[in-house]
Amino acid sequence: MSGTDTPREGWRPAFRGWRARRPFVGGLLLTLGGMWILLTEKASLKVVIHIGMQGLVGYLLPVVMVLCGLLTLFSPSQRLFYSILGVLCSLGSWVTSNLGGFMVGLLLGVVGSCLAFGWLPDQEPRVSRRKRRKAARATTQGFGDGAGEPA
Amino acid sequence: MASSPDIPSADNTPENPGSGSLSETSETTGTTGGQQRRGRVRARRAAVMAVPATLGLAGLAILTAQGALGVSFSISGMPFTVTAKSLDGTGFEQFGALDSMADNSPNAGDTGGQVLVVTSAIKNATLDSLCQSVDLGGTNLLIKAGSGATKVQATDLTTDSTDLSGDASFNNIEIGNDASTLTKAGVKGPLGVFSQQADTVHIDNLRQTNYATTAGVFKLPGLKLSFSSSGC
Repeated sequence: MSGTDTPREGWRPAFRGWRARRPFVGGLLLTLGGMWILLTEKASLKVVIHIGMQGLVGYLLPVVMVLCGLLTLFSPSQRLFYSILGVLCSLGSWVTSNLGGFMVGLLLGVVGSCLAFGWLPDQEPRVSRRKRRKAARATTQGFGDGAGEPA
Repeated sequence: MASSPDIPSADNTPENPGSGSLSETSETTGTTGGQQRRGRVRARRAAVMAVPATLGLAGLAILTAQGALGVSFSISGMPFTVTAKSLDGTGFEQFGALDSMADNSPNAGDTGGQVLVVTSAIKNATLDSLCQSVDLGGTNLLIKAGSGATKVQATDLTTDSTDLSGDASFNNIEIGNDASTLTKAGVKGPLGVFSQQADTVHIDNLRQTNYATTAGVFKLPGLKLSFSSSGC
């Protein structure tokens, strides 16, 4: 193990390591959802002010969604708070912002928040079900052999 | 709910527990992740939030479809069509305006980024068999509502449309006002522009192609969302 190898490997492994330490997909989806909603409703400010409070809230909620998504990525220790706020804003955008950016942004936001909420750091590596079953069979067989040997 | 029994380490951003030297951390990020323990999504934990969120979404959709909840629209820059069998409105204004798009907008085409639009504002409107379609790049999202006994209610409906057709009749219409002196619907246009306003308006077979802004709060009883290859 030599630390001098790391710069040659470039940004890809570094990014991989960075991604492993935060709910990356969740935060990304929440950010994208908020951005999509903003994209669908770039009404001029004059009209928004005419509509009044509800028009302003229509902009506020997707902005909060984007912020929550970015903060989930850059401050993952607070992810529970950000994901709860994110899911509430996503649901609220149904009422305030074009049915949640015509469903698309709302679904992205809800799925992203749920993934961020369910994410836990420092987990065992993922093992597929088939591999797990095989491992279980191997251990039981091993026990059987082990029991058989002394007899 | 928030406290989880299955967090293995109290620290949320795990450092390498082996040695606290600075070179160690750069090494772990540099390696391909073989010995590094990655975080991941636990399905059961995600479901704790996913189930209430789904229920909430279903509740919102049902409330909207019953017409109990008004949803607010503000759309701009997307081709957007609204049709309705009939529209009854009180407080109507109409004036011309020039809409400019964001720089380098893909929708600009050969218009130079500016479109001439007709701004119509209706204070309160009742629409029969409303159909809205939005082009989402390839597929159209259709929003249909108000075909049953209860009609669609819209308040503060403001549209900048490029194309507006229908059989209209007005009550107490004043034609040729200056757009900056309009009073009926609460929107003021630019100074020195032709405009008209009326107390009530009735439009049959309404069809609007709204290139620019559509905004308003809608109550959509009998809401039906669907995707389709053709618009309204």
